[in-house]
Amino acid sequence: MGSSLMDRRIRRVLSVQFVFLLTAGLIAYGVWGLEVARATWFGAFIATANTLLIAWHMRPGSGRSNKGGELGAQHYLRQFYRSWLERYLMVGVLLASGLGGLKLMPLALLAGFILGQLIWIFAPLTIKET
Amino acid sequence: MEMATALLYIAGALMMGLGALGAAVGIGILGGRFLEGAARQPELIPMLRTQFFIVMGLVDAVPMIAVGIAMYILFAVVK
Repeated sequence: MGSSLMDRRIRRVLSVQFVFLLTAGLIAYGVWGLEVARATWFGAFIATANTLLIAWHMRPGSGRSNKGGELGAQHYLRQFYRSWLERYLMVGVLLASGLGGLKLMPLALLAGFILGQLIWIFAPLTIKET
Repeated sequence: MEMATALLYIAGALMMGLGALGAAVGIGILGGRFLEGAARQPELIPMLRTQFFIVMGLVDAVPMIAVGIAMYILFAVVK
């Protein structure tokens, strides 16, 4: 029961982030134009990529080295820390490339990213535990 | 370098550093609890693993935002 509930939570976060990714760019394009829309979309994309990386690590059998065998807690702990480091680095690199390399509008990019990340805090709360 | 620019660099560094520190403490506590739970009931490891990832996403959300604001200060405010 617990496992399926948690799966529902990550699915909820991902689906809300995808909807936000699509709508935020469209709204920004309609109101402020293409430049702002591109930056907002990129910010929301970073937040969604962050969640996708978690979902990828969460998939059953992820990080298994001994085929079919039971893995110990130490192995999973190593996988957790590695995934945390990967996500932190990925977000840092994507933000730096968006702001520094692609020269996107900083405020719009940041707004897209922050709103996309805030979905992590609010989306799981909307699921009723049964 | 102007004083204001130097202070902005320090602010960005503090934001990133303290954000990473907060995330590291949170993930460390989470990892310790995971090991405790796994030692008590090894059969629950798959469920604990899923829960760990979800809570890790929650714990990480705010420090990641801090990193974003720090990047904004370093790339956009400081000229």
